Order: sequence, then C-alpha cells, then structure tokens
Amino acid sequence: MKNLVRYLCFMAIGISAFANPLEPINLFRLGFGALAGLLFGWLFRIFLRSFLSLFNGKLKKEKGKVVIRNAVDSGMLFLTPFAVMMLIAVYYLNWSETRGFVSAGIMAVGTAAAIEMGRVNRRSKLP
Amino acid sequence: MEATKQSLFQTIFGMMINPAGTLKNALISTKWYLSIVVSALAFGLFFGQTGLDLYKTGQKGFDFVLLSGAAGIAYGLLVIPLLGILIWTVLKLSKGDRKVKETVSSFCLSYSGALVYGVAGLIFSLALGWKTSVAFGVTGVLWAIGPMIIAIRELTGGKNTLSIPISTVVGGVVLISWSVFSNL
Repeated sequence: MKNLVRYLCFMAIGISAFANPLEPINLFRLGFGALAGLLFGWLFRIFLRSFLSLFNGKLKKEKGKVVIRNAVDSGMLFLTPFAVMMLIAVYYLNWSETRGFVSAGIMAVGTAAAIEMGRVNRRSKLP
Repeated sequence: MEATKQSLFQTIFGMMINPAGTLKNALISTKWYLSIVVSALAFGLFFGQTGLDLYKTGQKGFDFVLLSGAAGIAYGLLVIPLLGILIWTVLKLSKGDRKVKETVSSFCLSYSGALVYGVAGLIFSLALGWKTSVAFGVTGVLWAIGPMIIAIRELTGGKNTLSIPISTVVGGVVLISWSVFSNL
C-alpha cells in the first residue's frame, strides 16, 4: 500500500510539473510526466536512504538496512497532501507555478523520515 | 520526557521546526484561545498580502487590502477552528480520547509556520514592494501541512492512516477557498 501511494504521488507530481495549461490533457505529456515523476521519486528515495544511512551508521549496523528503508517509506507518505494540492492547483486552479509544492513536499518527507529515525533510535536505547 | 512550560513565541517556532517535540508542551502551556490567535494572524497576513498584491497591480483599492486582512482573520478565527472541531469528530468516531480543545489547539498551532512566513512576507511586501501572497503566503500554508500531519498523528497515538487523509482534505479546502477569495 505504501509503495502504491508513493508511486501515485510521484506520478502526480511529474504530471503536474509537465502539464501545459493550454492543453492539460495531452497523452504524451501525461505519460512523460508520469515517467519523469517516477524517475525523480526513485532518485529521491535513493538520496534520502543514503543520507539517513550516513548519519545513522550505528543503528543501521544494529538493526539492518530495513530500519532506514521503513523510515524513508513512512516519510514518503507525507507527500500525499502536496501531490493532491499540486493536482488541484494545476488542473482546477490552472496554475503553472508548482515548484513550491514540490519543495514543501520534499521538506516534509525529509522531516518525517528523520522523525521516524529518531523514534527508532529512542526505542532502541530503551532498556 | 517531562513536559516543560514554554512561551507562545517558542511554541510558534517550535511547531515550525519540531512539531512532534513541541506539541506536548504546547498543549500544556498554551491556552486554546492563543492557538486560535496564531491561526487568525496567520490567515490575516496571508489574505492581507493577497489584497496588497492586487492593490499594487491596480486591480483593487486600498479598502480591499483591509477587507482581505479582516476576511483572513475571520477565516483563521472561525473556519480553521471549525475544521479542528470536524477533525475532532472524526477522531472521536475512530475511538480517539482527545478533548476538543486539545484537537483545535493542535490544529490551529500547526499554522505557526504560516504565521512566520506571513510576517516575513509582509516585511518584504512593504519594504521591497514584492508581490508576496504566493511566494510567502501559499508557501506558509504548504509548510503548515507537515506539522498538521504530525499534530494529528500525535493525537491519534502515532497513526498515519487518519492524519494523512485529513491533512490532504484540509490542504485542498484551504487552497481552493483562498483561490476563490482572491478571484472575487
């Protein structure tokens, strides 16, 4: 379920970013946007996992890579409101400027993943 | 972790930077009506800057700037707490045990980031003549989504299943309602 939500969010982001306000339903743009969004999502996920691994080496050694992967995947869910708002902005409000949604979404995902890591860290330190 | 008293100023910046850590203390040390003041000021500044942008481009008179500010304050004072009550109802239906004041306070305080962005936007708008309603106003409201998800998650005992759909709906409602207002 988490994976499906993540894929849909990044597809929505890509589609919105490449949408043309004069021709919103262009199949080529929709397809290209969805693919570009998925590629961006894949790169972002790798980046976030590497970044968290870099600063949580001890925890990764103790609990394995799965801790980092779970934190990143949970954090990625935070992208949902931003992806939906971006679709509303592009397809309902006819905005063409959507960079703010992507940057705010990325910030929220990063914060959420870091909070998740903090939680795991605290739990592992409990006697 | 023991809860400590903190000022409203600390709460506003804390909710922006570390909402999960701040919320517990904020619910103890911040009165519910001060939380509503935070959302009222945040939306007053956001809507006020929308009026200011339209005034600068000659589309509206100065009276519209004042009207926008007042409409924003009313929005933050009535609509946002009402949405908070709606969220409390949803949480109650899903067997949550939080009080209505706690839920409304948390929800209103999640707009702390929007308030900080609003103040910064007003400074840039007045001092440098920038058009700030989208760059600062919308960004502030977007920034509020993260703390909102975390606030609702804390109220539901750490579950994302309710916090993310609720925040998505609220974000959409706020965006559409502001857009309708700015096109009046």
